[in-house]
Amino acid sequence: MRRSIKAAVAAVACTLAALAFNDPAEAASAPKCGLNTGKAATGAPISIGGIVGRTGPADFSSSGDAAAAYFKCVNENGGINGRPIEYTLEDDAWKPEQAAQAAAKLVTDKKVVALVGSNSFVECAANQATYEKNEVLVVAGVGIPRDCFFGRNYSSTNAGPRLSNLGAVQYMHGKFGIKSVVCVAPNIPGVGDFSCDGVKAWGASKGVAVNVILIDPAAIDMTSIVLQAMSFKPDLIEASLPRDGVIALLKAAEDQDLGSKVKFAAPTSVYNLEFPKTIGPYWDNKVYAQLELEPFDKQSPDMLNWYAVLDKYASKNVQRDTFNQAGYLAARWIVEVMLTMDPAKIDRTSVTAALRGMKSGLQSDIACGPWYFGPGNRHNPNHAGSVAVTSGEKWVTQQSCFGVDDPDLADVLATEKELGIRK
Amino acid sequence: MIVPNLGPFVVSGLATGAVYALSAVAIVILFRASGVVNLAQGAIGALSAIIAWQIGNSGGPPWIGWIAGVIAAMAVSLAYGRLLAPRVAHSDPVVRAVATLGLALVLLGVMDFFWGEYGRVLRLPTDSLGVRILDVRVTYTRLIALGLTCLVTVGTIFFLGWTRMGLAMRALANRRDISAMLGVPVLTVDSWAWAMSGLIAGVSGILLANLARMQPLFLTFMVIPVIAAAIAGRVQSLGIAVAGGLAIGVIEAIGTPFPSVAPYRTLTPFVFAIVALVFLQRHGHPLISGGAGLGADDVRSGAPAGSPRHRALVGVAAGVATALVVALAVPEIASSYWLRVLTASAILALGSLATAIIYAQLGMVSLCQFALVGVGGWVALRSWHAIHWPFEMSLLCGGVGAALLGLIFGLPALRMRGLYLALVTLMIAGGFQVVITAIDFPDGGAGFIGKIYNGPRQYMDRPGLATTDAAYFRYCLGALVIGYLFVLWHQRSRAGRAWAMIRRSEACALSASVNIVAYKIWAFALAGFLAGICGGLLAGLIGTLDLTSFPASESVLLFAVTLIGGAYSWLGPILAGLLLRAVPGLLNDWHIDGNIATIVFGAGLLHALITAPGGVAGQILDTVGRIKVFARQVRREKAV
Repeated sequence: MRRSIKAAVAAVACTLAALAFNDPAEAASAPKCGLNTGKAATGAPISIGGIVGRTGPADFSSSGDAAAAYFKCVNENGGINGRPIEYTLEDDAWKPEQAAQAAAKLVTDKKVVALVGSNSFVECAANQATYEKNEVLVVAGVGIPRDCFFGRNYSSTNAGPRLSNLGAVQYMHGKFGIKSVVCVAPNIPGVGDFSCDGVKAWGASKGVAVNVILIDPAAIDMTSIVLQAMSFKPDLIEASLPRDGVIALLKAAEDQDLGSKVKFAAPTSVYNLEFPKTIGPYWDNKVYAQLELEPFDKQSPDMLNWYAVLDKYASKNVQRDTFNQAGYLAARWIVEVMLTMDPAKIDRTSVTAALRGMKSGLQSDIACGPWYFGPGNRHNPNHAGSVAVTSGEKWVTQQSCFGVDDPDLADVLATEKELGIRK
Repeated sequence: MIVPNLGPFVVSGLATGAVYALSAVAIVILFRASGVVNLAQGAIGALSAIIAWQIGNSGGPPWIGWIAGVIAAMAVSLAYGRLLAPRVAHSDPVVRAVATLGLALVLLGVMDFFWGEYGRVLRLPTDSLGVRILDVRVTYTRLIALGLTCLVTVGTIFFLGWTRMGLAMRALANRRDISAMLGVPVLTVDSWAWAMSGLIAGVSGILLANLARMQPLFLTFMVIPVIAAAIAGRVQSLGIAVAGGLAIGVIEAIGTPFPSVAPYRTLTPFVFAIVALVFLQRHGHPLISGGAGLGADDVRSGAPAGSPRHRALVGVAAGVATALVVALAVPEIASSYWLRVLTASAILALGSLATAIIYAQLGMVSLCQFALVGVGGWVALRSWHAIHWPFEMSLLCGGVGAALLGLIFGLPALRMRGLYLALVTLMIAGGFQVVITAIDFPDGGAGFIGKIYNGPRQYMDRPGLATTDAAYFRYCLGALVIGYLFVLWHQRSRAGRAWAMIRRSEACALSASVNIVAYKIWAFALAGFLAGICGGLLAGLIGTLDLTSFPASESVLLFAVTLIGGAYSWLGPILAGLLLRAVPGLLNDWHIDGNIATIVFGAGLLHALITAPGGVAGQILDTVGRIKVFARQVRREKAV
């Protein structure tokens, strides 16, 4: 029964995708992964792990699911020079204790060489010490709270909510000359303040007034929050919330008929295929989103390959969103790194050394800039993105690939300059 | 300070309050008719909403979706009321309420399994129409919610007061046995009550999903603030429940424009409920119904034969020896994953012990023990980051901090017991959830709150003698043993005798010049201390704690699992610890979908509450006892 319902949901999603983007997946040929030999790998498996928040307040698993799909594809195409990848994906259920148990299982019991494609609200804080003690690195799909961007052993392929918000506000400033912003974020330390502080710091330097409203994630009356936001007479409401929170906020704003009175923007969390239809026609051309990676309708080789890999190796109901792209990239890049290594000598120590010793960034047409791990004490390699707007039940790209000017990124940029990754 | 224009917030708050009120009315109706505080009401409403959404979104006519949703809600409510509720009807009101949490978990698991927690919008045609009041656009949906609340309230008042069925419902809620003897058709009346409450839950679920948000988890646990409105009228008065709901909505909304109170405005329902209950209590409304006799001694096993002191010594020696064996063996054979899971189980056993003390010793129910675990964790972390002294000192600080708060949280227990005490403590747990979300756990930053805002998080070190996972497991096991001995010592001292007397009859205790206030407070402080130690150990497990781990529902769950384990037995808390952590750990290890695990857990909760009033520990120990008796008989027969 589950399968039939999920199949129905997937069918709807696919039809939508087809309607929205003329189904670029169809245009894609067979997926290309790793060595692309077409022969299954049979050697000694390489153990890799990942931790996602699948069950709990929201489903944050699409990143890990994408990594799993890519690894499956690699295993059918020669593996890592003959060695298949054994990928274990654990659910932390948004509970730090469970995240720590998952880390114990992966790091100690399964002896993984690295963690890839992780996507969680809690695991960065819960497991940082474990990762550092065991000298194992995380090539995360998606980092969200501050901890993910301040960990020595954690580097994600996404940009994080702080940069995503700031990117959106920067774009709106450039295009519409907005002078006053209200940033609405969950009242969760390390998430809400972290997300809006970047906008605040940037606003101070540009003379843009920024007011922050932190809301209890369990708050029932979004209408009051919208009213409060409007009391600041903003030009832009930046909804730095998870997708469901943005949807609730927009519903309240629609009830107040604010669509024409103020502009709305959101971080990448809203960028999935269903979102424009979910919020309805009222919001046509009114909700902007910053994308931490490139838009879905870009007909470039790696983007089409992402679709192809998912279509062939992932279940149909896995969400196609930015987080999914991020997981795909994490998997693709760890494979790229491991393919340059002697297959007999791939273990945790050598993988950690290879990632830490990266001297140049890895590229993909899905990402705006190079990704690297490197020796730094904190990592935020992705600090650029694009902007799209909802229009007629789909997303329409407005601007592609521009850098985000977070004053707090100075240390990261300095490291990049030092390594010669960027000029 | 400039006072902002509050008019719009009042209007907005009234509209939200209407939904609180409607849901509270459903809670009151069911309680008045069948004596059950239905914690599953939010989940039943969510089911109705998601079915309505599914049908509307698959292209079906929306009105069919609404009808199907409401019918499903009625069916689930009726099925539970007819099939399961009668089996716990003779239990304590708190147990009846906790059993509905089992239903809530099953429904939540089912919804999350099939639909998941994605953002959705449930649109109603009345959304597009609205009137402007004080600069706020009030949609017709909100007006309908308000109108419906009034209509349902007035209708119910008439129904309960003027119809035969209403009379039967009131009789049943008052004295179930006597009503049955007088010829009230118990099951029929019960069924009506459950169906009616299901109907209202279904309708308010659809409205809530439209007005707040369409998410199963959110709608399921919305029931806790909703209960606050019902409590204001002692879960009896429909009028006060409606007024309470509206007041909560308005106060919550008015707090929005004040930045210093805004993060705490979701405290409103909980504070409102506590203040209302204390006020009612001061004005002579009895709040003791259904409480007396709770924790009845007949559930306990009879007095053991032989010298009690000798038996106790043997028991302690056997317990310590078993703990030693476990401490030595487990780290050798368990994987790193299982070692972590079992460590958490041992820590949670301590939390369950803290819950069991109040229930088994005083016959009272506290539903805020997990919040006290959080308090202990917070204080332990804060003191460690401030002073960087040995772990044990932080642990003790956590224990003392939680004991102090436990003492304060226990103050209502001086004047009330039974269901009302349970509900007040549940409100405290709800309040803790709001506060901890706003301030989070310390991670080495400056100031009282101790949060770092720009830079890496700091972790609390584990104790010097237990830095590895294996050593920490032994450390926690040691703490559990000490906790047990501490409780045992209390039980066998003057305090234990005083508690026993208070549990039997406060009047008797008073006449025997037992200092009731002191001993009650002492029990709450002791339970708080143990909960605090549990929190400190949890903080030491990872070195930090997360605010999402301490919702009010966890406190209810901790109590439920303590009951299942068996609050009256020494084995109970250990089983409870295993149920809370090892069972989910096993399902997780097998990669069983977390939502299925929730369903299994909820069903298990229901099953255990229905079949084993003495808990699993009671069942196990009974079986052991029976085998002993049987063996003795066999021996005697052989001798003959």
